[in-house]
Amino acid sequence: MTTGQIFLILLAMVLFSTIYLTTYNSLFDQADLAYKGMYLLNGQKILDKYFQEIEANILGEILAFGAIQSTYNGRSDLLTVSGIVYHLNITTTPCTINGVDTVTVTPEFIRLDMSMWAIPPDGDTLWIGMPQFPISKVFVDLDY
Amino acid sequence: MITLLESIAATIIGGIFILTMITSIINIQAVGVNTNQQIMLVEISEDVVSVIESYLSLVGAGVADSAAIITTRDTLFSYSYADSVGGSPHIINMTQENISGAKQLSVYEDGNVTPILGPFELSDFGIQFTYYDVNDNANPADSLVRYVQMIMEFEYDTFRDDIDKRFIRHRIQIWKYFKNLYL
Repeated sequence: MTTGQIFLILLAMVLFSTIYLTTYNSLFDQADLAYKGMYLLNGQKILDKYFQEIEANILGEILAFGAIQSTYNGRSDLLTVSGIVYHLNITTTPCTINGVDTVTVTPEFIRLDMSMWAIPPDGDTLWIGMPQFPISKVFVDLDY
Repeated sequence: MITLLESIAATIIGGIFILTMITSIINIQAVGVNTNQQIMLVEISEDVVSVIESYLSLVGAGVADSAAIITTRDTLFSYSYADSVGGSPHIINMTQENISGAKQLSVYEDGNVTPILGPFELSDFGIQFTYYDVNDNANPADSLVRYVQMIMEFEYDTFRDDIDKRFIRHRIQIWKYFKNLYL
């Protein structure tokens, strides 16, 4: 076997390895996306729980509309679902018909911003609503 | 002699190469099928949960609070609702069943033997209801229940049936507040 033939074989092995690794890499990327979808879905259910809780408590007059801010602003909770710990942060922003109004003492609307993060088994932090881009819902004062 | 040895070596290397390729193709197919099934399972379970949630939204609608919740067990939730205030109440049973050794989720209405929803295949975990009162205390008396936590685990078979057999599972946890009972 000549030196040229050896180099050709080595080149073929390198090229084949590249295809091999690329194919596996894309497959694992797909699997990663599938699993992240699961964790995102569970995170959204947790956020939905808090939105439901507030709606129900307001409907039942267990929580006064004005008390949403004192109860939920700055609140942090931990919830474990399927062995994954979800870290939840809530902030509230008083609003009037003209938009955000932090001065008014009687806001007609309160915007609730939620962000959450978790660390799935792959070790990467997964955000479900980020502090800069939270998942929000606006609650209106029923007496408004 | 050297040519013969080179031919044997080339045959061995070529054989290993072909075997590696075949193994790779099988692995790639297995991973691809499992990933697809995982994605489908997430989509299907989300669809199922959406329908289940719409039924749970009816808890206590049009009936007295005292008659809204009928049975609260780990694997059975029974409640009533009416199509209109004061109308004829319907009774819904959400239950885990064991059919042919497999756990399934079915929803029955008014005692009919044919489910209006399901049966949906579940894993060995099945479903688990946990009930809460207005102060977040678990498992209160039926009349004090105001929301439920429902955990379900769906399952798919896997690509390989011989070695490294792992079922594809998706556990989903939801909470549903019974707003009709808060009014």
